[in-house]
Amino acid sequence: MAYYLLRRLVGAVAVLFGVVTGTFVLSHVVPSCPACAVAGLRAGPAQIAATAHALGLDRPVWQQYLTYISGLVHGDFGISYASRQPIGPAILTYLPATLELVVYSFVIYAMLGVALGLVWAWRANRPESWLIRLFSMLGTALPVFWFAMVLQLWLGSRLGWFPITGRLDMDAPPNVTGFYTIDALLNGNLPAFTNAAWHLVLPVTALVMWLFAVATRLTQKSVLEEMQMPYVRTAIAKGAGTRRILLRHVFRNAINPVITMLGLQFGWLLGGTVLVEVVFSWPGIGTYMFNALQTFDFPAIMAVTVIITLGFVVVNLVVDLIYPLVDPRIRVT
Amino acid sequence: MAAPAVPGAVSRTAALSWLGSAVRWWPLGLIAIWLLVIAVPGLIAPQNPLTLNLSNTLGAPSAQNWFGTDEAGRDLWSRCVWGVRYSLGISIVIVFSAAAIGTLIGGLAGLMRGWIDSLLMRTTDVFLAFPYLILAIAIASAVGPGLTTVVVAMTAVWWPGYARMVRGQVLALKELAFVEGARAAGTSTLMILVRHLLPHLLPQLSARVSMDVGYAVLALTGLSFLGLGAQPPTPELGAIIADARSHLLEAWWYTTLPGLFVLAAVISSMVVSDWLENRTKGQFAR
Repeated sequence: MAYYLLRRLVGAVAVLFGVVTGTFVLSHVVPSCPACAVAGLRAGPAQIAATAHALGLDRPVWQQYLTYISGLVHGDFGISYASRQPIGPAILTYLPATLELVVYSFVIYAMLGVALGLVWAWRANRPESWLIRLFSMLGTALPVFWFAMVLQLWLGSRLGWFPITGRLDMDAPPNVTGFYTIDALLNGNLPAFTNAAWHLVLPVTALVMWLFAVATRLTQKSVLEEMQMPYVRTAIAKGAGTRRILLRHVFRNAINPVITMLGLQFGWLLGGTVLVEVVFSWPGIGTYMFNALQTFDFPAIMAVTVIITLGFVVVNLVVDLIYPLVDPRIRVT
Repeated sequence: MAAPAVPGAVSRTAALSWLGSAVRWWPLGLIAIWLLVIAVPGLIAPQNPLTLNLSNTLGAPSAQNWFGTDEAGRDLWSRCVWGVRYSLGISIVIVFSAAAIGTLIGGLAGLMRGWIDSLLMRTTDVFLAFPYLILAIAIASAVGPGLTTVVVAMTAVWWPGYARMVRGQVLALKELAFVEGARAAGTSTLMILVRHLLPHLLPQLSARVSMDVGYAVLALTGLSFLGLGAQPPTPELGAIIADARSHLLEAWWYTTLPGLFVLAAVISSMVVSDWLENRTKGQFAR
C-alpha cells in the first residue's frame, strides 16, 4: 500500500518536472528572439539588448532555468510580455470561471456517462441503446469548437433560449468561492443564480457532448465483461433480479476502470475548455491563453500550460488515492 | 449443410459472393473517395477557393454557391472541399509519421530492454500524462504558427501512444520461436523488427491509425481554430470555422456547413477503424 502511494507520488513529481522543463525550453530556448517580441517591432538593437537584460535573457541558460524553477515553486510565473504585469495574480482572476465551467461539466458528464453506459449494457439492442450509441458516436466525431458555435447560433441567437456569451448579465455577487452560481446562492440572490446557471447551459452542453462517448462506452464494456463472471451466474441462480444484480453486484466491480478514466478525462476537459471558452468568450484561463497566443506572450502561454498540467496531475493523484477506498482489493496488494 | 450442386447455380452463387464481398469491402471505397477528394479537389469543386467576388459577400446558399459565400465572396463549397485536402491530408501525414516513429522506438525498446527501454518508457509516460491539446498549443506557439509547426507539434505529442502499444506487442511476440530463430541466424535487431515483427503488428496498427486520423483531424482543426495552424487565405476547415466566428449572427451557413465536412471525415475514420478491427478479429481467432 505504502509502496503503491509512493510510486504514484514519484510519478506525479516526474511528470511535473518534465512539463516545467519542457515549457522552459519552449519559452526560453526555442523562440529565436524572445526579447525582440517584448521590445516590440520598432525597437532598435540597443533597446532589445536592454530588454533582454531586464528579463534576464542575457544570462546563461542554466541560470535562467534555476530562476524559472525557483519562481514557479514560489508561485511566481513571471511577467507577461503583453501587459508587463505579473502572470500569477492575473491567472488567479481567470481561474474560478474555468473551474466553475469544468466542475459542472465534469459532474454532469460523469453521472450521465455512467448512467447511460449502464442503460446501454442493460438494454442492449433496444431502441434506447441505439440512441445512446448514436449520440456517443456523434459526440466523438463532433469538433467541439464547431458544436459550441452551432449551439450558440441556433439555440442562442436564432431561438433566443440561452445567452450567447459571457458568464453573467448583471453585477457579480460578492466573491466567496469564485463560482457565480454558489456565490449568488450564498448571498440569497436568486436572479443572479438563475442568470449564471443559464449562461452555463450551452458551454456545459458542448463539453459534456464532447466527452460523453468515452464514459458511456467504457461503462458499457466494463459491465458486459463483469456479467460474464461466475458470481453473476450464482446470483442469477439464487434468483436475484436483473436490477439487483446490476446495481448491487456488477456495478461496484465494473466502476473501477471508469473511475481511472474519469480522472484522465478531467485533464482533457481542462484542455478542451480552451476551445469552448474562446467560442463563448468565457472569461477563464482558456480565453486568457487564447489572448496570450495572439500576442506571442510566451510566459503567459507556458504558465497556463503548467497550471493545466498541475491540475491534471493532482486530479489523477487524487483518483489514485481514492481508488483503494472504492476497491478494497487494492489495499491488500 | 452444403447445397446440392445444380448446374447453372454456380454463376449465381459466384455473383452473390462477389456482391457479398463488395459489400464487405465497402469501407475501402470510403477511403478511396476521401483520397480522391484530397488528390483532385477540383473534381467536385470547380470554383477556385481563393477567388474573391466582392459583389457577392456573405451570400446565402444558392444553385451557384451550394454552401454560400464568405466575407470575401469566396465560394464556401470549394473552400470546404479544398479544406479537406489540408485538414484530412495533413492529419494523415501526421498520424503516419507518428505511427512510424512510435513503432520504431517502441519496437526497439521492447527488443533491447535494459536502460534504453526504461528511458524511452519514462519519456512516453511524461508525454502521455498530460492533455495533448495543451502540449501542442505550447509547442506550436513557441515555434510560430503555421501548418509545418502544427505537423511537428502534433507528431511530437502523438508518437508516444504508438511506442507504448508496439512495445507491449513486441514483448509478447519476441518470446516466440521465429524471433529466436531469426536471432540465431544472425539477423540484426532492426531487421527482426521490420521483417519479422512488423507483419504481426500491422493489423492492430492499422485499426489504431485509421481511428487516430479522425482524432488528428479534430486536433488539427482545433489548433487552426485557435490561429496556430493554417494561415489565411489557406482554406483549412478549422481556419474557415474560425473566420466564421465574426459573422456568426449574419450567416448561418458560414458557421454551420463547414463543420459537416469535419464530422463526415471523422465518422469515416471511425467506420474504417471498426471495419479493420472486426476483420482482424476474425483473422486471428483461434
